[in-house]
Amino acid sequence: MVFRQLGFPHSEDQQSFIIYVSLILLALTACRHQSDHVLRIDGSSTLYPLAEAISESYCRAYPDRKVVVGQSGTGGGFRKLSRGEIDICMASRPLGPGDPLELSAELRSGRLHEVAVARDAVVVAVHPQNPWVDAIDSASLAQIWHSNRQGKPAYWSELNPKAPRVPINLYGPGPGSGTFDFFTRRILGQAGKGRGDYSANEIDAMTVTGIAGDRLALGYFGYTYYLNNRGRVKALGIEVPSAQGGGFALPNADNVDNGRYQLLSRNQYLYVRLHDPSKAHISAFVRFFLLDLCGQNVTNTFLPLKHEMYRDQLQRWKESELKHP
Amino acid sequence: MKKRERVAAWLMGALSWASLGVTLIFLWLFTHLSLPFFARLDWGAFFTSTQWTPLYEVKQFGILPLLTGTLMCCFIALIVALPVGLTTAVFLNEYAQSWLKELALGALHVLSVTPSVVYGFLALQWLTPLLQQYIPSLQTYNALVPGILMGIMILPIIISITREAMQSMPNSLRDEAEAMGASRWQIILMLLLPYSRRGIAAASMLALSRALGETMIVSIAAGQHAGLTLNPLEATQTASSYILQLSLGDVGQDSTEYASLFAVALSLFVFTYLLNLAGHRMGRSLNHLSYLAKEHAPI
Repeated sequence: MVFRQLGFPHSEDQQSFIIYVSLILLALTACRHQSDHVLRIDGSSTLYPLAEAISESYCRAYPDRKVVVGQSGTGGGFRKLSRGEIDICMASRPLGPGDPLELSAELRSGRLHEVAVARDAVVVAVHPQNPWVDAIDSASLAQIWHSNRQGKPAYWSELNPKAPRVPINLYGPGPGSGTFDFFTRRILGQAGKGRGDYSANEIDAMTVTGIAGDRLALGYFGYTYYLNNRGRVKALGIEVPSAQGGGFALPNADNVDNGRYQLLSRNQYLYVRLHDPSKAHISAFVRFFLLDLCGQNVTNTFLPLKHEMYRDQLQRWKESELKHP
Repeated sequence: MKKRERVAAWLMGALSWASLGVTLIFLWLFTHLSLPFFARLDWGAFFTSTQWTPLYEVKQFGILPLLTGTLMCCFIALIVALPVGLTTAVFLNEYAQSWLKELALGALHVLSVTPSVVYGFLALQWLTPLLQQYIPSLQTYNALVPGILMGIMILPIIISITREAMQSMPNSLRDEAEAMGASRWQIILMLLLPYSRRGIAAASMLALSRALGETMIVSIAAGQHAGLTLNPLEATQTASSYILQLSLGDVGQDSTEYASLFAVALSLFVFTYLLNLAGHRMGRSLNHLSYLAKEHAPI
């Protein structure tokens, strides 16, 4: 009966159907045995596009190796790393006190290794036709996003006296995201602080889409997503501390390099565990990753570290490899 | 022969009890896992607070924004689906030539097998920008557009059940009406629709419970902003999309936030169950319809 409904009118078809299903099941079990040769990466969605691009070229260079890249947020990545579910964790902030404790212990004992791979800036953006703001200071950002404003909308007239008293529609990453932790720590002084009544999305691209279609929008997301959507949103200049000359700085490679965009820029890391001798390919992958960035072979979709820093990281990586063969 | 029959009957009985068992296990699991949430809950605030922010610094546990968000999307879906579904069913039953009927039923099949994530992206990437040209105050994430797409998604349920009800009308009734000189339009208004009203009610209830549990469309296109609003042009959050958002993040398993997932699930479960029960009651007087209702139930 079931076979009839599925469109198998003859018993031969039923037989071949059953054979197909068993073959597929067999193939699935075979895959499980091969999973030791698969390199699993997970973590921050900010680093995801870069890691994805590099692992593609890695797999082209070494066709017998397989890399699986996921994005479950920095915190989620650390948790998976501590459970041994993944080999490398992408992080958009350093390992902190809120993360699994055994990871910090491993980091101190040298079994876990921190590799800086890129810079990142958090971009605060509005709708491209927003006439009221071009730049914003840290105090105004804090005022808009503070948790004591929860339930009470912020108004555009607070940012510009000439603007009408219409509410600011807020967009941003959800509380599972490293970008959320970073932004709240830099702007409000404590990670995780901040209001909860905004359109939250773990996927930065969705935040960009929200801002691009809403004239009253203000939101923040990782730099990569700004590079890919330059025309769709307007990035705001961010206040520069008077020690660095004052004024406002737009998010771009120069301002991140010279420190003028310091308020919202940060390093991006890979966290790699170096203790399992059967996983020599992990080491090979990290070397490939750094060399690739060093040679600037990747598409220009992220903020690289300075050239010497890559040399430095590569050198340190090779040393730690010698220590933990 | 008799023994085999008894074994078969026993087996079938056991299987139907098993489905009840699964429902009970779900109910127990939801209750058990949401206990840490309900134990610490201020019940007054649960039903009266206008904010739902369990994941943030200022934690507010008001279920109202999630409920209104859910109901608003479903209400819009029904407003879209009921008139379109009813007229289509009447048309297919009364007017359509057989080739057109085949074509329409084929199209309905396509609608019913389209994954809801596709509807979600249609809403966000196509219909919202289109409507924004005519309604400037429409936000990128809103309740209106996912509601409309959800309405299209539940069309096949409404049409197929309503049509079954209409087909079950005995031809003798129609013949008598025609003999008394009733026009086709009169037959539809005064005979067909009243005759199939229970089927229509059952269809809307089942379609509604399908819409209540729908997750992908609203997660993609409705935004995840649990604010208490009845304006369909603004972003909102439904119960199901909150569950999805929470399970995507990295919330510790022993936290109140984690338990809130099951509290919302339990609320949704109870609500959907009541609706299903109501739909079932309404459809019961038509024997074969209550059978159909079971077949189309989402749970």
